[in-house]
Amino acid sequence: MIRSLAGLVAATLVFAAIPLLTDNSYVISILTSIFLWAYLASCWNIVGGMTGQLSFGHAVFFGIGAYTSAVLFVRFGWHPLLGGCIGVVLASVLALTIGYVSARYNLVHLHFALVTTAVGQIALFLAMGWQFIGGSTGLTVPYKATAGQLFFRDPAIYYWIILAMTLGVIALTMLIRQRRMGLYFLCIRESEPAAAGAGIDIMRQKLTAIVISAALTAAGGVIYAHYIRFLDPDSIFGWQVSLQMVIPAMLGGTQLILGPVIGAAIFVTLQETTRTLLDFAGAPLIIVGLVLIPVVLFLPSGVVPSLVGAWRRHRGPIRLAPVAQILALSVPSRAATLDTDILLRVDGVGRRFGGVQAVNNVSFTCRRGERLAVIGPNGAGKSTLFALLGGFIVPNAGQITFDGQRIDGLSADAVCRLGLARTFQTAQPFRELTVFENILASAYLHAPSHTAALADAWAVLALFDLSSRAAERSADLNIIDQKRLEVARAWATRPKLILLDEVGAGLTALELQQLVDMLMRLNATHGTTILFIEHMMSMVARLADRVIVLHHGEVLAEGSMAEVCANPVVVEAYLGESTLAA
Amino acid sequence: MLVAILQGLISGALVGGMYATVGIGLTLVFGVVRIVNFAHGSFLMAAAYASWLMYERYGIDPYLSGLILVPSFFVLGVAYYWGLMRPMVGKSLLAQSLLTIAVGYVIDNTALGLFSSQMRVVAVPYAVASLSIGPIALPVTRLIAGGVGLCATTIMYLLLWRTGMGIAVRAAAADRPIAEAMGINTHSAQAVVTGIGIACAALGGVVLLPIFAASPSMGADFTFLSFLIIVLGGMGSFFGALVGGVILGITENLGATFFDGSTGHMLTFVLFVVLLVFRPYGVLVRRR
Repeated sequence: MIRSLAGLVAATLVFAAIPLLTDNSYVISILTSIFLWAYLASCWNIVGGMTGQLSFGHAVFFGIGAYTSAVLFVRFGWHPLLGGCIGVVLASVLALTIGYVSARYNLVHLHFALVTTAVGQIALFLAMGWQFIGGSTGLTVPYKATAGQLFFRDPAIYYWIILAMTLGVIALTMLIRQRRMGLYFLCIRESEPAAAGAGIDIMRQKLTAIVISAALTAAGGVIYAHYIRFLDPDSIFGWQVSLQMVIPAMLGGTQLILGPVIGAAIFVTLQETTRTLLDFAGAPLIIVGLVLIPVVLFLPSGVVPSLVGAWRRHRGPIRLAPVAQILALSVPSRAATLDTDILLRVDGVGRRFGGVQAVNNVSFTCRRGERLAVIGPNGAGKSTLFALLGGFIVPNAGQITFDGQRIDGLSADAVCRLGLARTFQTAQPFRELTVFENILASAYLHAPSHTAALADAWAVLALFDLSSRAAERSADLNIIDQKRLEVARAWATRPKLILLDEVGAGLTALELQQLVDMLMRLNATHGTTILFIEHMMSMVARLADRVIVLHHGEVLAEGSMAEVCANPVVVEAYLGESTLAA
Repeated sequence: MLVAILQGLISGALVGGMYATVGIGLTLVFGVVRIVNFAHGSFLMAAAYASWLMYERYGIDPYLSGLILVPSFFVLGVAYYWGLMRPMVGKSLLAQSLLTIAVGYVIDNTALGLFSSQMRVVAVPYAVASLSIGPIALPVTRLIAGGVGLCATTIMYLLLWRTGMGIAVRAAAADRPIAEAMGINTHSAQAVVTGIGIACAALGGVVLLPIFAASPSMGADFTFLSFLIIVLGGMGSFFGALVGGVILGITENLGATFFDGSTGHMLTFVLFVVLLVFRPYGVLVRRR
């Protein structure tokens, strides 16, 4: 981090020296343009690249910053920076609104892209119709201002300001990326259900990302207004402008902190070269389009990561930093003496999907430290029951009490924070993140500090025998390791109760044995209560203290494995009536 | 007043029938190929310019040029699928959108360079002719747009719901791997659908040219318009797009009568946001 920051500062100093070496105003204006778009694309990348919310309307934030500062200065003589601050606040408020509505009504992916596009268009039409801010003819910022009012005769000063802002946003992105917040952003991009399952408050993280991004974008607009000194709605609020923030990020690579900067360099240079070489009205954007198509097709992660990837392959795999010594997990160990303390109480819970009663009037209790299995034929409502317990869906009836607290109606992340973690039937790793980062995201939940979280994550990795895979992309793991990661990730939230949804499916006898041994050990040393859905009867027999049989969404039987197996109703449910008759 | 409203309603609905066809083109590609085509309107614009050019140079009637243009754009759409969209199937939304946006850039800016930003009108003699039913005057061009839109929609309906190819296409849309396992060549199905989608856009360009005019900004305008239609109708829904197109044609026409064009335009985007938030699956369907 320190070293990359030093490199960054050194690079900035080199670029800052350029105006001292040349008087060529064309060169300076091109460089200014490159860093302006580098800055804006980096701002966009915080929300678009990191949290994966594709905003196609960032021009709104840019425009609010630019117009607020310029209009207040031109019409009322307010200081540009004061107007700028107001603009940044306004942009943040709008971003908060868009972010809240989108998260509240679950507008993700295409819906989010379309909503932001539409907001951008509304702003464009408003700006064109509002004569006070210049209407469609535009607004000129007079040249008679002073340096204190952000007017400089020397264009190099604007260049330095924009360069410094770019450095600032890159440093900020690096900081975010290194810390909990950045990892949470990436988790949300990879899988929202899994992120909620790891106790991440999705709404809060999304709002943080969009507000940071919008405020910085608006600040860029403020400087731009006083640099360009002429604002017209099309070149400020146009959809084109929003796309110009997205394209550099995509060209350079959204995964990389410097990706947008390099993308902006390519983007601006391409357009300028075409403009000088070809006398054809639309040529610059045609060329951008023609370059963008092969990049998207053949270098889908952007120019820089693809090249770096080729270089890394050439150099062999990256070596891991020395692993910190394995620390004992700080969850106090308790003997799994089954006390009578009820940890989870499910009372008459029901859930209906349209005409299907998936779970109907289910009641059971689970004692602290117990290992309770839920079995039943496919379609019995087992996974729905888990989704209800985990806060992923809200029950229509009944109540769920966990550790003395009502949890039905709580969101998934809140449930997770209370100490009830789950795995998913189909493993849902944060695919683009490394195995270590997958665990770290969960470890942050209860760790007092960043360092403690790191140590915890290493310890969990070691516990689940995943240390050697730490630096691998989790999408590259085989199915078995992904399942192990799934359990490890749930475990890293330090749950009181862990819900395991068919973790044994597809394992060989030996792997199953290892899994059962490990779960027994966790249960014994940490007193973690285990509630698991399983079809592998050998696992149920070895692990479960008690078994609940679910059939057609209702509890059919309950008791020890032997009792349940001897129950004719259960045999009938599993094997059908004819078997019993025969 | 009542006459004005009635006039606006009918003539809006007529153009809306054509909008519906254009929207169905986009929604088909989205529903079956699962790719958002931000270049949809650009194809429409390209067809409009081609039709205009054929009229200017060779005096070919715009509707006649459609007979050549629509099939050519079908072929172009199939090529578009095999060349550019196929590698994008299953890729991230960002990659998909940027690819199609890049295609739109190339088409839009080529038009700008070749034809400048001037509005290009076809001065056919019947452009001003209209049919009077009592006090209501219906322009012939709009009647044709409505009629062609209705025919195109019916043909597509029969194609998708009454033929083996249609079943293959819908199976591919529902579950690609399973459809493949059942021996359906999903890529061919998707290529045909993209062809149909682009042909719908071309038909829109040709039929709407005598009513409006060709200009480079038409591309982005019609892309947004098509998105609005499919959001109104529920993304990926055939009948939804039909309803959405007609509703939009009427709103736009009445909006232009009672507000100025710009405000009417802005209101459609406000409607768009409200619908996305409260009716993400279309006006016809309740939230799933």
